Amino acid sequence: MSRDLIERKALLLLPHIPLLVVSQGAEAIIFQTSVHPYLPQLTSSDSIYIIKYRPSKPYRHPILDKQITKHRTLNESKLLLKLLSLSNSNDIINDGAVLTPSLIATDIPNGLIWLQFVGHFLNDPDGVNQKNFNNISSLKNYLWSIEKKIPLHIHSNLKEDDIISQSLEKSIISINYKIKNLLTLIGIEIANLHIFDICHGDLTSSNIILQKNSNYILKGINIDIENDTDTDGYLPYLIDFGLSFQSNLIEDKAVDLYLLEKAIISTHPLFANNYYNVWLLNGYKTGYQLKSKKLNNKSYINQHKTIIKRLDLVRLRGRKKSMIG
Amino acid sequence: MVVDLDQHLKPGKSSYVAIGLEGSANKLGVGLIRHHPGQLSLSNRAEVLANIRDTYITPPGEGFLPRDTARHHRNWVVRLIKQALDEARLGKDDIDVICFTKGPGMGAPLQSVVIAARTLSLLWDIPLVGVNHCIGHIEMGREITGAHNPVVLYVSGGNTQVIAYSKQKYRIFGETLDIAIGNCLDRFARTLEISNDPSPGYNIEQLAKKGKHFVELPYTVKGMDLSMSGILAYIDEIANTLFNKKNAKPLQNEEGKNKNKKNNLCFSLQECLFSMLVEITERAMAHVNSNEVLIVGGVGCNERLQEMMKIMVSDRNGSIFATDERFCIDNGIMIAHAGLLSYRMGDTTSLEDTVCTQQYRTDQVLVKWRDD
Amino acid sequence: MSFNLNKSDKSLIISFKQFPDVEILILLFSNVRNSSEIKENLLSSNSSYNYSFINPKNLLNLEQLFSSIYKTLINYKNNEVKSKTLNSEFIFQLSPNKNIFDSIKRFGIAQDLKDLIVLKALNIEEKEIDKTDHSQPNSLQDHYKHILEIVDGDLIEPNDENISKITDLDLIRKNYKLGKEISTDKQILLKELIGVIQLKGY
Repeated sequence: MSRDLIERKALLLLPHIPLLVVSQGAEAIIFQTSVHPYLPQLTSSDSIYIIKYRPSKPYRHPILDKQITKHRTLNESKLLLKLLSLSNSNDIINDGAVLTPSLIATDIPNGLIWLQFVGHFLNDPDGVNQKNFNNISSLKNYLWSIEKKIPLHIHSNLKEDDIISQSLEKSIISINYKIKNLLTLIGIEIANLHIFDICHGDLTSSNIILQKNSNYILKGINIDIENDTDTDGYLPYLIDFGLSFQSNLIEDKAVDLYLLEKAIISTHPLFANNYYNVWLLNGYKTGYQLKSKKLNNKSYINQHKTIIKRLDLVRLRGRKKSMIG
Repeated sequence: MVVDLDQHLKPGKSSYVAIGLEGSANKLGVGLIRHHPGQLSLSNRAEVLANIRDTYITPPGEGFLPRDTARHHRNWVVRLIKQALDEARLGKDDIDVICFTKGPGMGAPLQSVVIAARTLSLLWDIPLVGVNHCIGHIEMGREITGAHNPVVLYVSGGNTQVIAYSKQKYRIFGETLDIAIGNCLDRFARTLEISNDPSPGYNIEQLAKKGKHFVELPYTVKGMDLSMSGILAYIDEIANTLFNKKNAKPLQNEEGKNKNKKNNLCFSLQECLFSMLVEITERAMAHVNSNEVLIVGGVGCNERLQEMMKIMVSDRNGSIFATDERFCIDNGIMIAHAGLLSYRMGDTTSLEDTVCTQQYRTDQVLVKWRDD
Repeated sequence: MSFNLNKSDKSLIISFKQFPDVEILILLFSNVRNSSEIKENLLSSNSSYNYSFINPKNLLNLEQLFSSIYKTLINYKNNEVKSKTLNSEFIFQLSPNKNIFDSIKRFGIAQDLKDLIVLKALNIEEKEIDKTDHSQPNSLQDHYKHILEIVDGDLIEPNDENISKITDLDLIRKNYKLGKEISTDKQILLKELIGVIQLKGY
């Protein structure tokens, strides 16, 4: 459906709710609104809420269309709720939690979900803060904002997979030990997700939103961190569970990791292979180690090994099995 | 595009001619194509000189076996080659290169065709070029429709892929996790004992057009990929229960009712499978920011699929491209065309390397003839 | 959403942005002395007891209640109500359980209940939303007076502070089937409860 038509349909379903389009994907359109569905508006508020709308697809048979819309909306909502309760009723990633936006309201048959807004708006390259979703504090935008600070002449001479000179590396890393901590933490979070036997299905650096949390400090875990344990005050939230599913299969978890790896390589080619993906996978390993320690159960370590072995295979065959012809 | 396609033009010759041999499944195709020098474009189209095909059709309820299919191909290949040359009014001296399907496909049929290709090559002293069957479909589709850089939905008896071009490779964005869609439809046709003439898929399509009631089936898109074996198992089960031979009543109105049930099942299966294809195609379009879709492969002939895709694409203000049965069903001309592109870039396949391979991924081929 | 808390008569009238024609009156009572009588009247379908009588022990705060009322109205719009009346639906929606009888028992009025929430939803064009309602009073003011007549208890201000004094975490854990490790963080617990309410029935 053309965007106009979709917006009109959404307006019919959400009368008197101001809607602003944030993004439009193949399956759903995301709106932002300043209005909460069932709470009074605070006077000084510039609060934001997210509405995810799955419009009907005109090429589908109407019965099939209703079936799919309902199933997808429900699946995503249920997974969000499940993660909330599985995270052991806490929000500490090192304690096994997966952070996601909370579910505010649903209208399942019509394909609507209201979600908590996570993150904030980063400054423009010019230092202006425009409250534009292009500048949302996604991992992607955050990394880009830091990568941009690297002097242009160095940036333009760097090729993918170059091992940067030791001194340059040191200077990049030392101002960005926080990135290392952050990516490690994200790795732990993904491990937690997989330990819950849930695969995200669409892990990219756009689907990880960084939320400021000034009180957060990693709790005394022996992660190899250069300076202190802070992640620039950020906690990573996973979003967009539209393609997510429950699975205990090693293959699915390995593919989940592979998709993220590829996504990082394609959006951050200079630092992906030698830095970002390394840190992510280290964090992933740590996540399994933490669980193993917590429950005094070595099988988690084995699970991790098996997944990583499978990841090697997935990389080799480029994600898919050979064709049957 | 700054690729020079004419580095290997034979002195004294004003154009290239290639013969293509295709036999990866039950269709045996022979095609003859001419390229004029320079970039292929709307003003410099490839010329189809001959495009002949013979299909091995099995009785209703039966699929085609490799051994029998290979035998069919061996029986027909010489005849078809002669016919093609006659139609094109060409002889062995006019041909620059012999192109054949290297893979993917069924082993024995591929083999029987490559033997013909090798024989011709040795007899006439003409070089060989092995071609990836999927690349054949894609390049022929682009050439016939003029689509520049579309997302390609390749759907046939043996393949189901969503492909987009990037940096000299046709990359697979989404595909089937188990069986191909054509295979799924063909097998269901067998369950319903529908005729295989002209093809089981065509007959399912005709029955589906008469179907009115939608039967809910599992819908199995997984991210950018899809799975179909579960749907097939499910609908086979329904069909077997409905048409259980033990309870067969030879009443007239039962027959009528059964027809309706068949129609409705075919209708529902198509709606479900095609929706899944359109969905993963749309996902790929969003991912690579493309507005064009090209449908290739035998199942691409299906009018309902084309219609559904068109609706999705127009909603995105894009364009859809599809070919007719001459080109979407497996044929020799696409092999000749793709092979000739490769040949013009300097590639030939030495005799030792003309081994067929049942598994040959689309993204393994280096697309030298494109530079975008 | 409009939120009108009248501190003098201790009534709360709310209305959601998406349903501007619907107004909901919310009253909170403590020291209720005639719960059994109210319950009996409900069981015998006494038409002047056409209200939603809710057990506030299952509530953490007003947000939880509002999310449930909102969901009920959404379901109503989608023709997906399961119980007989809008009033019973308000109660039913609070419960994670698909069994109406069980839900009303746990989340509605009980025999010796000392605290009580009473709800009435009205379409402001003075038409009852619920077509099964043939009661007499026709404005929220009328209903307010009538509720005070039938409930023998102390009217207190319906706010989070008062509700939190009534909240029974053990009961919440039991009725929402939360298992042993209930979150001590009220914010997280609230999110879980709201999630359960929003996904009720699916």
